Amino acid sequence: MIKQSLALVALLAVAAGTWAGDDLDSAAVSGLGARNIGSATMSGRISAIAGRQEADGKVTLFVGAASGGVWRSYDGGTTFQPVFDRQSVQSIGAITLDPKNPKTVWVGSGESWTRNSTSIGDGVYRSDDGGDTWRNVGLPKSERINKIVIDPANTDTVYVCVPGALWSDSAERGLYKTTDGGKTWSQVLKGPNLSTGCSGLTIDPRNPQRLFAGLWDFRRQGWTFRSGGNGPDAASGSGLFLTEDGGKNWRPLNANTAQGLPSAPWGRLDVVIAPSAPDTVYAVIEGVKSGLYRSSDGGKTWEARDASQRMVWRPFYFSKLIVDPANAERVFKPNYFLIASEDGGKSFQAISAGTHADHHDVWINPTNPRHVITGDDGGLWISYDGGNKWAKCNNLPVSQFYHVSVDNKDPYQVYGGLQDNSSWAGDSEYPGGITNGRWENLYGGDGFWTFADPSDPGFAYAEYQGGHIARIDRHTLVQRNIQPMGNYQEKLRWNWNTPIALSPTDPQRLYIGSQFLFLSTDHGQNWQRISPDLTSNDPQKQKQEESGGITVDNSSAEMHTTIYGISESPLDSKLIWVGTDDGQVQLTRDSGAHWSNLTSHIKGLPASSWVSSVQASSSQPGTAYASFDRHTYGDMNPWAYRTTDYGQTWTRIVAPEQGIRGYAHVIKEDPAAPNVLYLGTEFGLWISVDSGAHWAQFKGSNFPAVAVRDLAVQRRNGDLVIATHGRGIWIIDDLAALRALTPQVLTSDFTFLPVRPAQERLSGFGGWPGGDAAFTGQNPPGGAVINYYQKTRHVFGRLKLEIFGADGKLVDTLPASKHKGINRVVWSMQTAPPRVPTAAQPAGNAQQGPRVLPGQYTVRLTKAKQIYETTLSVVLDSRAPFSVDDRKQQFAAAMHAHALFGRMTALTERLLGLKDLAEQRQKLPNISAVTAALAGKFAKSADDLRKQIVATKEGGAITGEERLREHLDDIYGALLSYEGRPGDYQLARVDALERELQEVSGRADALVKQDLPKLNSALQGAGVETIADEQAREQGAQLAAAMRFRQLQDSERRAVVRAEQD
Amino acid sequence: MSGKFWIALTAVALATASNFAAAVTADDVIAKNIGARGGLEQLRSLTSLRRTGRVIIPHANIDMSALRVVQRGGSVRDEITLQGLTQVNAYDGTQAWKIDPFQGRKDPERMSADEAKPLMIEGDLDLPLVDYQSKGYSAEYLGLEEVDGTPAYKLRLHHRSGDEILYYIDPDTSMIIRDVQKRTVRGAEQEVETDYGEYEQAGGVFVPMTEQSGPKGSDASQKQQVVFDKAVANEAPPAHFFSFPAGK
Repeated sequence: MIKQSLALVALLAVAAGTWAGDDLDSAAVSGLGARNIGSATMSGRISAIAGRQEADGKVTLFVGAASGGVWRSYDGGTTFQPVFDRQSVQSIGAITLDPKNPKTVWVGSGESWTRNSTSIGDGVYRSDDGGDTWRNVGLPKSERINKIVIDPANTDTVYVCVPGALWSDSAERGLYKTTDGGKTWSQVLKGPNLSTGCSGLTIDPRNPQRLFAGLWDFRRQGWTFRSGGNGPDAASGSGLFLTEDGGKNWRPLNANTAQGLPSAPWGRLDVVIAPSAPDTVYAVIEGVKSGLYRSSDGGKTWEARDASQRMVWRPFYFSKLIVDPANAERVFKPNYFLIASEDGGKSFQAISAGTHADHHDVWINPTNPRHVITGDDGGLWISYDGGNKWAKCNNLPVSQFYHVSVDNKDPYQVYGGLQDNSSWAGDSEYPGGITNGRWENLYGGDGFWTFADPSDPGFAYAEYQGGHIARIDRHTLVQRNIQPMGNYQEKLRWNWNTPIALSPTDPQRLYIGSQFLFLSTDHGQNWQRISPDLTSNDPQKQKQEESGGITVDNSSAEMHTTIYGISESPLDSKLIWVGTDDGQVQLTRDSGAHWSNLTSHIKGLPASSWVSSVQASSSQPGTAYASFDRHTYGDMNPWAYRTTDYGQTWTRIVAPEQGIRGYAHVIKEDPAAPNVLYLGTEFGLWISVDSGAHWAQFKGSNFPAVAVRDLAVQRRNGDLVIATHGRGIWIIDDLAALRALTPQVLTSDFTFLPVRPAQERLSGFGGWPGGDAAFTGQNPPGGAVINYYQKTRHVFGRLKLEIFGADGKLVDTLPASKHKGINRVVWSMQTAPPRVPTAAQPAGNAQQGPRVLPGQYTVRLTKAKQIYETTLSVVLDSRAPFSVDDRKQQFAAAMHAHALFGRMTALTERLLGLKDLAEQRQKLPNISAVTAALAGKFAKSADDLRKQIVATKEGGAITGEERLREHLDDIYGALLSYEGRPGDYQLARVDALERELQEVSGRADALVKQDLPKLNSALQGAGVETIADEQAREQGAQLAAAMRFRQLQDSERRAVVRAEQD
Repeated sequence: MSGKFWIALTAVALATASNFAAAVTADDVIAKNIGARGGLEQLRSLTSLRRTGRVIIPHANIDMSALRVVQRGGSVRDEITLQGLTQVNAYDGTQAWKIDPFQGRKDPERMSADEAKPLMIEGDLDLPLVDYQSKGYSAEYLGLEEVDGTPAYKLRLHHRSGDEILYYIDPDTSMIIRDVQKRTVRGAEQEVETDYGEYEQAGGVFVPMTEQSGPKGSDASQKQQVVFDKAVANEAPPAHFFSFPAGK
């Protein structure tokens, strides 16, 4: 037997020495599992929609999320499945269905709505089985794809419109074509420079050799962006082009070559042919005079149409045209509002009604143009009246969180802010599941850092973009703006994602950073400036009023030279780390009186690298971590460093060579195990158990390669709460197993891992049938968790997992989990259900046994004759309003009723046996009519008594028949419903039922004592075998067992009966 | 061993694995699985398989006794028993039927063709992989895919009806560790994922003694678990065991 303890695990850890790290892989850590709590209330940005009206009346939809993968619905949006979770990226730019092969789906990864927070893709994907499996078929460096067009005559010919890299020059952009279904690609159109890619593409359904394409010159930097050139008059590579030969030759269409088009320079543009009238072509063009243009002669001449603000608003973010497949005059333009025209673009009306805002795509059902679907920053919306009224899809948990925090309630709540979707608080656990309604909206705008006020749980702090922090009264919902203000002639620079931080040492202390660090100790009533400008204050990075390119766009999204991360040491409140978006890492060790710029100490890190997170260690005051995000310079690699000497020296602990993908958003040290580190990158979550020497990607519960923007550890529970930017909040419950994952454990064949004490959580009632069209977040495991590590998957032979009580008696046997790495098994903590006499229907409450009493239990796993043991502590729910003594009384009462069920079963079986044996005699041919009548009467008497115990009316109706068993089931259920001290009336009820049962038992005894001898005497006289009471008991038990195992052989049946009697 | 040498060896191993992966076919993987289960001859010597055990529905905390009997020729009978009431789902190779006693009735009812689909697959004693073509399937090898963190061969059996079975086969043991049955029910697609394990021999053939089932992608704690304690091969079930009860 191998007996383990935490002490042994710790000892082994010390003895570990050096370790190659080969055993730390995804399989090792992913068995922890994670649960997604959503929410789909706020959902998230939808960037692409494709649909098909099926012949059987259903509608198939494919929906692309900006950073949450592809979702498929076979029922028009009632339910969705994520079908892209195993792919290496989650950002979707385009989806196109093959018009001839319904199983073929094309996806362009990397959205083209190039806001500051946009993610990246890695090429074109193709599925030939309706989205079940995908192949990356090329253009891996395209970064973002705007549109995929399939030649309707030859669907192996596909065009892909690639805007390309946002943050750097790249030659891999423009228009690409394949003629062999994606095996090979050729670039058929490119721009005049390395920042111009494709932004619009349309094919003539009459003549697929004829296509229009739009090229777009664009670029982002951390502090500015341009759509078009560097201003309204600067040269731009954007343009409109036409090919008549499938892309071999292109003719530019502009003010000089096509009458009516606007003068250059242009910015972003889209172009679309009306499918029902291909000579009708629409183009939306960003320029000095942005607007919609229409050609009615196949692109030869154009005329200006709508140029309202709703048409030209923020062209870099809204530039898509959709024409009704059956009506060339009906045009949709997703914009801040969704706008539509029914007069060929002469006039537009906003039709987005009750939708969120910021629309990006529209699908119109070609067989029913009143059926319209749109996607915006708040999710997916369906209209059946042509776009007047909309129903929201509350089943897409693609919410884009920036940050997350937790409080210390029980259950704790989770707080976070989202892209264009405000700031929210949601439950981590709720009876019946965490429905969308369990999330509470706190503020508005784009949400970022959000916290419960640790000094007063009735309040929360939240912000919207640009540092607009508020203290929110959660009862009255009053939002008090408490943003610090600038001094005379001073501009405070607030990042789009302004950092707010709570002090881990003092619940009154609240920090916020512009270029200065501010501290409040009175809930924002006053602010103290505790730093000088901690940034580079580079004026070249402060020209946001010139940002946007042709169309100025200064929303604060490009505000730069700002503080981006703040972390006060949990070990020393005077020690505060700050990181800035322009690469400064600063430290004060005296509450802000003096600051040290540590940036030059970070060797190997390129200058001005955005400090995406800083974290002070919980274990050593001189230790801190910083992650750096260089994607705004076109470097998509992960960077993170650790210092152990107050920033004098730094060691790089995160690099691509360690198998980590994606630019780093956050690094955190586990507060209870400093060797355990968590890293969130644009492509997922990585875990290290050796202080960053080795990393493994977490893929538990199909956790996708989604951006992990922030992490929080709920210290009381030891849970890791993960903020994804595209798939909502996920929780890894109980990190104890991970914290014990030493090199010795990882190289062992099998090791039990620690768990937190298992609380017998109160069984609350919650939830309500809300249909299939709503997301419900998963609760934590509803029992005691048993953790163990296996080096390899267990395939052959038994893996027996048993639970023993303190008295050494077997309590339960569980199916074991079998995969490689950490395994989790959940034990219900219930005793076996009572033996219940068979009746017309099951006794509902008696399907379960009462939960075991709090105490220590032994878990034993047997694997290939090797036995391993560990202990498991079962405790009351920390919220329980009763004591362990109360619990013992409840358990005793429940077990009293449990035992009565057993006695009742034995009596029922005895009566069943007497009846059966008597009926057998009654049917014998050699007995007299008198004896037969006597046997019949005896059998009926026995059965009448049985019918006093159990309900026997069959037929499936609500019979309302209540006998002793049903009464006992009622009180048993009442006793199980509350684990505190039972009411005296409940105990009295059990006693009363016991007395009633005793009375029936007495009548059965009387029957056996008084009537059976008379029957036996008559039977004896007839030379027939008499009936013995013991024989009847056995016969009844066999009959009952036969009901369960009537198909088994007699020998097995008897064995089962014996086992049950034992 | 020097680090460089280790890297070189790893590279060779990866290259070899890669070549194998490139060369592998659906029939290769199926042949390996049949061999690992006991071989074709042994498989075909099975006339019936009876397994008894328990069914656990974790989220409802319900634990019931279970019986499954499969007979060569496509017959199967599944029973779960609670408080002496036995639910039956059976298929005799032609017709599927059920008894659902938990609402107070014990009359057998006929199943629809769609409802019978999982029983038709369960009733294949050899599993659909054996002689898949004659059973109306085509097979496709889809490469390696991770199952709970370890790679598995992924096979797709596509039935002429349009239904599919995805098999995930452990490369080390060639045993099935997961399948996903995709079928159309009342015009809508359903996908049920089942994990298999704890293989033991019965009649010289390795059969799974645990099964964990639920909608595809559902969490393990939400899946129904079947744990068989005993597997008996080649004991003939009673006559008419699989047939719709006479006189009903």
